[in-house]
Amino acid sequence: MTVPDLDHPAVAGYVHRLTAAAATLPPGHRDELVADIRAHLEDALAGVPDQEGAVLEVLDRLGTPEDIVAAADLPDERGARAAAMSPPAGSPPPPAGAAPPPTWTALEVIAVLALTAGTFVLPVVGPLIGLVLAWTSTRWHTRDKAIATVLTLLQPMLLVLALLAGLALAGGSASGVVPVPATGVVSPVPSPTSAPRLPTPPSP
Amino acid sequence: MELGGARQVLPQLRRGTLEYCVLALLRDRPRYGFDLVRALAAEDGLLTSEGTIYPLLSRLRRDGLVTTTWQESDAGPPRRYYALTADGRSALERFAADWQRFRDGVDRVLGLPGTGGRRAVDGRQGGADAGDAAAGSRREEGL
Repeated sequence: MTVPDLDHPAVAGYVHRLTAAAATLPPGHRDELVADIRAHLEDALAGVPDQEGAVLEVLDRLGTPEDIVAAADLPDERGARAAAMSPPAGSPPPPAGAAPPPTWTALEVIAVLALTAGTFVLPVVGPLIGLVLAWTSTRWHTRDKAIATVLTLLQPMLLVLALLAGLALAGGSASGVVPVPATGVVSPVPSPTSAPRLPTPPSP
Repeated sequence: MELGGARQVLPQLRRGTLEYCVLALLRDRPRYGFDLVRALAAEDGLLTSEGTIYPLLSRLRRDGLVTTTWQESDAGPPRRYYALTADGRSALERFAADWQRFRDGVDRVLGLPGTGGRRAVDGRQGGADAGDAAAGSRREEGL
């Protein structure tokens, strides 16, 4: 009697789904998990007849790939136990505090491009669009979004401050105070009476 | 508390104890993953999704409570065997003592049979039934 193995279509499909779902895990964890599940399937399938129903039963008892990856993805032990005990159908939401995987989607990439290159391609509007996109992201923390907003708005503010400082310096030269570029020291124009005298050469 | 509240407690109870059930299964000898799954599945309602045991085992290994070794099997691919470490053993012992105390306390307050038979609700203290206590620990060992 032949026994079903990992080449069975339903099983191969399951392992494929698991590998894909586990892509969000760190590489070491992902490889270990897939290896463990494959080993489990080898053992589980060895004990069942080569019938569709029996094979699907084994996969059912394993739980969905998404549930298994969710159990591996949770940040703490308590969360892993929670997922191990959750009902298989309609997986429950992760426990409070579990952050969404910190991977970037197209939204994040476009937001960053708009915030940086957007300044040159589409001044003012580009970065603003980038900010709006950034705030809609579910992958970034609010704290990071706030920092990005401050930095983005800071650029034009710094520009304005620089302009004002430049104007102040330029306007200052008309009021009698002469900046001395070479030394960087602003000093009043020396008057003949206060100039230091050079020592007179000794008379022969 | 709503009517469904009692049923919500059970998943939480499982959540807190599954890890120690796994450690207990490893008390006498190293075992491989599928073997552990079978043993847990035999206990009604202890394990709903078999696959989620594996992330739990990985976590136990990362926390230093178990170690794993790959061993060749006579027929078929090599298997990953899990074994208790000293830390795992002491964690298990601590839990077993806490659990026993906790379970006995709840049983007494609920007035469940096998805890001396006396309802503690009306204030009377029931003496611990030595026979039942031994049966209880035998049940635990038999996991």
